[in-house]
Amino acid sequence: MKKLLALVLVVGAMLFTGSQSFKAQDAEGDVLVGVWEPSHGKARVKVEKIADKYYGKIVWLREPNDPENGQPKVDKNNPDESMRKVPLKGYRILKDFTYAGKKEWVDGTIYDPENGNTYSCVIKAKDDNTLDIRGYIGVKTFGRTDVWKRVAVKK
Amino acid sequence: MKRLFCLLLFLQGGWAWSQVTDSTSEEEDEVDYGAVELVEGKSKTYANSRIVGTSPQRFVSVGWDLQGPYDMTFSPIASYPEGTDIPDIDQSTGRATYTGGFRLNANIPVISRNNLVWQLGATYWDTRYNINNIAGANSGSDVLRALNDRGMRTGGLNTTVYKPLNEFQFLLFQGSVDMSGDFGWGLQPYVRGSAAVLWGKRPNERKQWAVGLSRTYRVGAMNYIPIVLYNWTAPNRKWGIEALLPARGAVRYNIDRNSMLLAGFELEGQSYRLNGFLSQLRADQGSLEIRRGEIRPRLEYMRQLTGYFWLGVQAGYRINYSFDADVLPQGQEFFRGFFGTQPFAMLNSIGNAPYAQITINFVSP
Amino acid sequence: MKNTLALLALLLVAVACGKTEKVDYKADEITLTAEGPLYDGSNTATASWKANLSDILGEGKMEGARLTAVTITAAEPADLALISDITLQFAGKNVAMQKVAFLNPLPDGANSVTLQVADDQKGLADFFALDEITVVADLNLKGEYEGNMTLKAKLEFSFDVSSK
Repeated sequence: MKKLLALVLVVGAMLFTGSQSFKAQDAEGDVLVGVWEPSHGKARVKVEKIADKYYGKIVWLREPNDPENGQPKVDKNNPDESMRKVPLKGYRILKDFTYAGKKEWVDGTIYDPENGNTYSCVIKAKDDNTLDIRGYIGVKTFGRTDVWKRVAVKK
Repeated sequence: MKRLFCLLLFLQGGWAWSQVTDSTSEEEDEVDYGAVELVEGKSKTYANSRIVGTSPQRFVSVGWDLQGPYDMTFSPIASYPEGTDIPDIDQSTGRATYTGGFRLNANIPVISRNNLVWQLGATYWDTRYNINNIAGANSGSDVLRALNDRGMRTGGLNTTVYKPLNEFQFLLFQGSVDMSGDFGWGLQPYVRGSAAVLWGKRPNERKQWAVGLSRTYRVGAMNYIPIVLYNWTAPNRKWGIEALLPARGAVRYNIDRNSMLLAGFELEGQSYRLNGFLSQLRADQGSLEIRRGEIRPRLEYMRQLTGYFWLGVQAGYRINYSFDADVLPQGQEFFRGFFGTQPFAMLNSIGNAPYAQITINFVSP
Repeated sequence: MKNTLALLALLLVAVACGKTEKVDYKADEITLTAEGPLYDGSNTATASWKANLSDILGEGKMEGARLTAVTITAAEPADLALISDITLQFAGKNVAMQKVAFLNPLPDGANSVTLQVADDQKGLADFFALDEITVVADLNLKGEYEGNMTLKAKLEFSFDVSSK
């Protein structure tokens, strides 16, 4: 019985420390969570974590309405015609990022509502409040890096 | 046993709990995303290097260029002030029944960020000639035969730097070194350099212009000329203008998202060094350079094939601007410009001909 | 019972012929929760869902899947009036997030809404190979909301099942 208890404690300790390092990893990865503004200032994106991956949705648009019809902007350039009335406010433009350590999030995609293109994407945190977001096609060479800065709501 | 099981379950549960805790359970204290401030630092918006609606930027382009038949009239190699009348008896003639070849252009971004774009590129154009009925028995016909046998090639490396200064202004720099002539696998002794510097503005996402100066071989001889960049797209995104004058210009009609029509012109040219003519020239080992320049008005149809691969088909007319030649002592360039009076080594003329070009392009989104 | 028999019969036929059969599946109601307090603008409700497909697939393998219908009701029917649009997505480990349905705008005074399903649903079958699917509903709210908002989703699918 004593031996069994000892075994349980050891296994328990392993599981616990395992979860601790997971937590530390999580905490580092969670630096991505928050509200960010791309360099063009036309939108703000809120990044959150859903089931271990990071997703970002548009929460604010500088020009929320389409100048052509005065209605809130929708995803009119989506390659799938049936999805062209999805509103841009709340649109998930960053998807499926996993934290790869060293302040990098990989294997994600970024969607550009201006032309309906989805690009492979990697994110690097230059510091806690600045992100380098690189969207590319195929290899990272054929892409473009944009700088996003963290914003906080004024109290 | 039960206690053991419960203990394990508790620990397991603990681990699982740390897994599903995610930030969506944090307090939602963001209320109005319109009233925010940057947490740190200043955010700078930079002018984008492109505007909406333009023809796609080509990363890699491979194609074939073909011209219709035309007559060629070459003088012997001597020294002629411009405008000299050369008696027919001295001229050599030939008929080019085939002029064409492979073209490769590549432009790959090395750095592509919102505040700097730096691209490196390479070009390789090969032109082969089939010249029949070569008449004449002097250096003029020798040159015709050389073209028929070896054709002309140009290969070069280039670089482009786009630097936005702020949201509306930018600087553009282009530089290239080219090696042109009838060389084979070996390199040839002389390379020619060209460059352009521009300053411009991008007032909105549909308009972009810049002015600057360039050193260019576009019309065959080396020249310093002012250049103007102008890109514009209509509000309905159906029409546009793409111009880098005087090198090229076009009016664009966007048929739909994946195809467009461009009507315009392009100036092409280089200074091509022909091998094998040193012995006929002065003792100072001058190099014979054909100053080739042509104007090509054309219609181009571009269409997406799949993904980021686009087809380009051009049809137009190749108008000859210059096929004269100079002898350059030791390959040293000299500047004649539009007003210089230095004599030519050959005064040649070729007829005009229709041309067509087809390209497959890997483009940028 | 009748349905199960019909399905079994279908499966038997499939097994006999070794072809791919289309099988319809009505999922049990899924409860999505948006943790409050919620504010005017974009909010998200999520649910972890495990589809019980052993009856449906039996010996067969899922070759393709399509969402054919989605109906959303709110635990408090009045809550629907506060929602201006809904976008529904599936997320999961090692699978790319897929937008499957949306409704913009929500009709006035409705107690339950039927979403418009996406034409393009590539790779949906991959989600069903996972241990669980995270269902993500992005909602734009017209005003503030205290506490959690709970939605119920009824999903209907059509599977292509091949038998070996």
